[in-house]
Amino acid sequence: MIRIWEIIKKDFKIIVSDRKALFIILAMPILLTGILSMALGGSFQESGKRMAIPVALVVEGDAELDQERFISLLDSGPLKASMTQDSRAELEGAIRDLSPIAMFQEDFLGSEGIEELVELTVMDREMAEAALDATEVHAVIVLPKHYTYDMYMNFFTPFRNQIEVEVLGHTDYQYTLRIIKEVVTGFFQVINTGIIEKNVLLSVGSLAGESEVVYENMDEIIKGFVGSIEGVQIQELQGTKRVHVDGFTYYSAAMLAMFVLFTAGFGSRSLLTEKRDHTANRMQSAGVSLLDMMVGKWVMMVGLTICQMVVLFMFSWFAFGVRWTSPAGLLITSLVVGMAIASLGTLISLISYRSNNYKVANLFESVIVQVMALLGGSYIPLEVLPKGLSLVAPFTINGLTLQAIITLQRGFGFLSVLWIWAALLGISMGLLLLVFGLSRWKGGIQHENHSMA
Amino acid sequence: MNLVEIQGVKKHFGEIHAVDGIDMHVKKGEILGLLGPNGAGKSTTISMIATLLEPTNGTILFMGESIQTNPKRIQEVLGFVPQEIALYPTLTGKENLQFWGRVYGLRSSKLKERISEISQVIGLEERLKDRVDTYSGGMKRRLNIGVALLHKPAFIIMDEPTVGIDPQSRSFILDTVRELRDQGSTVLYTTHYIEEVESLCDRIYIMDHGKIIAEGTKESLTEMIDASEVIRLSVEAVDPMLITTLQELKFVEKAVVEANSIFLTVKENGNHYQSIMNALKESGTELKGMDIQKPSLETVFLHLTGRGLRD
Ligand SMILES: Nc1ncnc2c1ncn2[C@@H]1O[C@H](COP(=O)(O)OP(=O)(O)O)[C@@H](O)[C@H]1O
Ligand SMILES: [Mg+2]
Repeated sequence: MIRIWEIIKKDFKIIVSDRKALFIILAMPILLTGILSMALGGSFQESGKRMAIPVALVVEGDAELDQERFISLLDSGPLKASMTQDSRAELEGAIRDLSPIAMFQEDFLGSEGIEELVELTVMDREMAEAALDATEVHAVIVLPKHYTYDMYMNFFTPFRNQIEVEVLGHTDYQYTLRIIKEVVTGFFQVINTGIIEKNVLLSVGSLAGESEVVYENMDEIIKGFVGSIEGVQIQELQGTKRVHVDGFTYYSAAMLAMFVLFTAGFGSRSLLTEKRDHTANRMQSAGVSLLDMMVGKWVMMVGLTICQMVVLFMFSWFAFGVRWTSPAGLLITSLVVGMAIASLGTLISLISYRSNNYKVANLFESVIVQVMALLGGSYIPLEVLPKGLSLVAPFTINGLTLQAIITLQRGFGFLSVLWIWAALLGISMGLLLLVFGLSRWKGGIQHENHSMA
Repeated sequence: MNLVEIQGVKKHFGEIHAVDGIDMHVKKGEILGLLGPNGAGKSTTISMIATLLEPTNGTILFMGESIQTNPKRIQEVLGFVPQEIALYPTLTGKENLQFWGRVYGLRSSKLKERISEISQVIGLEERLKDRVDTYSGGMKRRLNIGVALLHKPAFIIMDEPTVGIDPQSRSFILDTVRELRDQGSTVLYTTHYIEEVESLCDRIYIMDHGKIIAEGTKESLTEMIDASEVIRLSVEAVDPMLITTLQELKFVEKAVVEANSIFLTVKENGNHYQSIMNALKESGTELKGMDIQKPSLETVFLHLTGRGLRD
């Protein structure tokens, strides 16, 4: 155990002494992030505007029917008792003036700000589902059957009818789904606050025997309501503005996600370097196993990745003013990314060691890293990539890394990135299993025959 | 009991029989020389002893116990100086010493003490803070040896430690080896330099083509060739007919050609000069020089293999 610790310490000293590696791993991403952000940041922001999310709105019920049903309710039951003829007429007018669907569709989704975010098309359910499958729309909002009726109940009576709005998403557009859900939730939060206020008013009114007055002023109350939807919705929009990630942030995250791969590349040479420098032999003659050496390299790569990520987070904070919102989340992300990177690096280093040449490591660095960077969205935002390619992103370490950072940055909680962390851990496990398999294969965990000539 | 016992050991790399069935032993407290030309199989042999390679055949015992079943036993007391520089080039001399010392279980004050002792022995005190890749070849060699001696190993294996080194460093190293033996360590010393073996080793194995071809002390080995002299003839070009003629002379034990020299191992004292000159004249070969040598390990090797050690 003490020995492994010494080996780990030694591996860290070696990176610190390797200026070139340090440059590639720490300085290059900083430089490139700067350059790319300047060059592309602007256009990324603009394209961010053009990228309004296509959403289908499905209205399941019949609004007119609901309206008639509710008006007929005014003449029966408890409502009738608490109203004069005049206030009843006024109320009916208010009801006919108010369309809960339009409230959602036009007043809310059509308001400035949200309109930029959501490109709405009204469809029937079947069409909407087909469009979602074809990813013509990225989410579907379904207003349920008695939406209009239930909304009237909530607005004009002391009753509370539960309204279940469905939001359907596509697996390719997990973020989008979250955004739309957040938007819908925002709307109903405002509605709920309004309903509670109104109910308080009604209760107070009836206690004072003045419920009549309350109903007479219902018109005003409702107007205030709609106003508050518009008013609060701007606040809500600022809430959803967190969702917008600017060019600096995106490229900081993307460069980082790509450059962690170089840590794997660096680590993937380290075992063979020990063989070439003959230190592997000396270790073995001292009873240090190949497994011990691999543990050293693995821990070194985990640590290096974490350092790399922390340094880049700090750099982009100070240099570009990127305000990372979830330090704890990013730290956990760094740890699981480090583990995946280290496992990948260890696997490649074992292959290089076994095959006794650097070809695999070189290939990894020059080709695979670039391909992974592209597929993982390190060069251009994934949404811009062809669909088939963007499907691969969840399987690349850098793609997952980028996704985790951006998701956290967009203000979603740990729960939303849990699957990414789990996926990264899964990748680590899988790669480590391969490492074990390969080191067992052909004669156990031991050093390779080695030419002494 | 012998410290190391090697029985019928072979190591084959595919078609190459690097070590081809050898028996050897190492006695406690001796400097044992393993002498042989490049490619003889010396490094392969000691790599097997140092648990770096598994023999294709045969067994190696350390203190009576197979090193394959219990490698830890030898690993703990072994100081291994590989033929190549086995150091971390980007770390400093001190960092290298510290790391390897710790690998061998040295800690804190003990480690410090040994590092200062060893760096004195290898004459690197001044340069300890510099990176190894800034060292000269000789300095690297000395550090390469130094790291193997930190833990005061009872058994030291050195694989051609003086290759490509300045004469000063070389005598430094040879003195160190003698000191180690005097302090009670056992040393297995591999080289293709005859002088080193002659001046250093208590006992010698001569190896060629993967086989042990002779064993003994320097004296017993030179006695092996039943001759009192070796006559070396320097010629312009070697005529094969001349060799045949020379070999047919009855006092000639053996005639061996190396480059433009002919080595004649001759049986008894006396004046063979005339017969040799006649043979030369007969073949029309011009003699450029001639000298008479006392039998040495070099002549032993020539005698045994028909080749020189240095090619
Ligand atoms: N790993 C190996 N694979 C193939 N051949 C080898 C290997 N190691 C050594 N040899 C061959 O075995 C022979 C003995 O090599 P070696 O033990 O290094 O000789 P020495 O140390 O006496 O110079 C040489 O012909 C060498 O080329
Ligand atoms: Mg050798």
